[in-house]
Amino acid sequence: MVVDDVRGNIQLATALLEREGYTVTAASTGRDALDAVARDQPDLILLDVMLPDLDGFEICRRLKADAATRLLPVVLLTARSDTAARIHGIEAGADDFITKPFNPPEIRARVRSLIRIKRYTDDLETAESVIVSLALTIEARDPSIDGHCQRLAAYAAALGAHIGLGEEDLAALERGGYLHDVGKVGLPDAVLLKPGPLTRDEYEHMKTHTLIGDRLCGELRSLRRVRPVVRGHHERLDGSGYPDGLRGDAIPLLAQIMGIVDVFDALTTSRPYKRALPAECAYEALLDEVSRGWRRRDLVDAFIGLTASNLMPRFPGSACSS
Amino acid sequence: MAADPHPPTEESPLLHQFKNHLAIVVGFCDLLLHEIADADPKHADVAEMRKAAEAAMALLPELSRRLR
Repeated sequence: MVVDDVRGNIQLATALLEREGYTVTAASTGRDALDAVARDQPDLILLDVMLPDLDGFEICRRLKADAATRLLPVVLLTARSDTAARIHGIEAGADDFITKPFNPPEIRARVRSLIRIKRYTDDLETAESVIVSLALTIEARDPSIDGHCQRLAAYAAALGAHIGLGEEDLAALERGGYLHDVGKVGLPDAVLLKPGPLTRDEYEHMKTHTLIGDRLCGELRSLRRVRPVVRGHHERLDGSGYPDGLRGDAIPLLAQIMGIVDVFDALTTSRPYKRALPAECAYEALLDEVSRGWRRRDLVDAFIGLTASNLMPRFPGSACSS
Repeated sequence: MAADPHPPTEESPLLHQFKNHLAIVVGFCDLLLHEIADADPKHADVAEMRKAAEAAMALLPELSRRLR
């Protein structure tokens, strides 16, 4: 997409890029550009800095602040070659600059390179969405845990925000909510859906879901902060958890948070073999796990405080729905 | 909101527009030069147009100083 208020510039950039086989759309104001990006989802935007309404820096800032458009490559077109304008553009999140007058081989090379990177990013996003879909198939196989992932994502992120974690950790908790049990795709129905208690062998088999999930996410750099949640959400402070028997602070904080909300949700929702317990019983169970040395008291207290004050996101059919 | 530590340098709007128009002339000349065979007499004509536009652009810094 080319954004410029001078018609000649749009025609020139369009002519250059169409000869390379690209489909080019255009906008001549900042607001039109933002609308068109949302509507057309272009692969790259060539953005003039000086526009009649919003300037290119502001448009770039808005695109980079929005999760839906953050990965869209933005090339700022400027007639100025001074350093201050470039620094301003870098701070606004621009991916590249092209100084007018256009040098056709330069514009072609830069566009080609950025679109190639965009394709890789798209592929990675696709890979991540495949893993998330995989995680959701667990719920599809086991209808009794319908909505479990969504609730865990919401509970864990709410608890993380309550104790002051940063944006990246909160995002990891939210993704972790969906992905924590992704490794269960590797478990047979006979184990995953068994209505009664598991035998020792079946339990050992069940425990491997943390390792399988870790390996599934391991291929993706974008999931590196989520992996410790997937691997470590069944660890206990006294070392009696799995898969690594980690103790105390060796258990990643995000995994400890996921462990707490996982227990709470499992207790407060119904399963074919058990009824949902009221939240108060789940609090008692969590406090019991604190006294056994399995969980951090401050985290459990923070979670109970948050839930008991009705500050937790609500879901129909769960203890947080009342 | 804190003041922007790196406000972009302002360029005279007149010069900016001038440069914009010249950039379009140079850009289209490049496109044509790419498409017209070297042996075609039109190639030399377009090359002259481009040279003139570039010469005009080279004068812009001087013009900018005189306008201040």
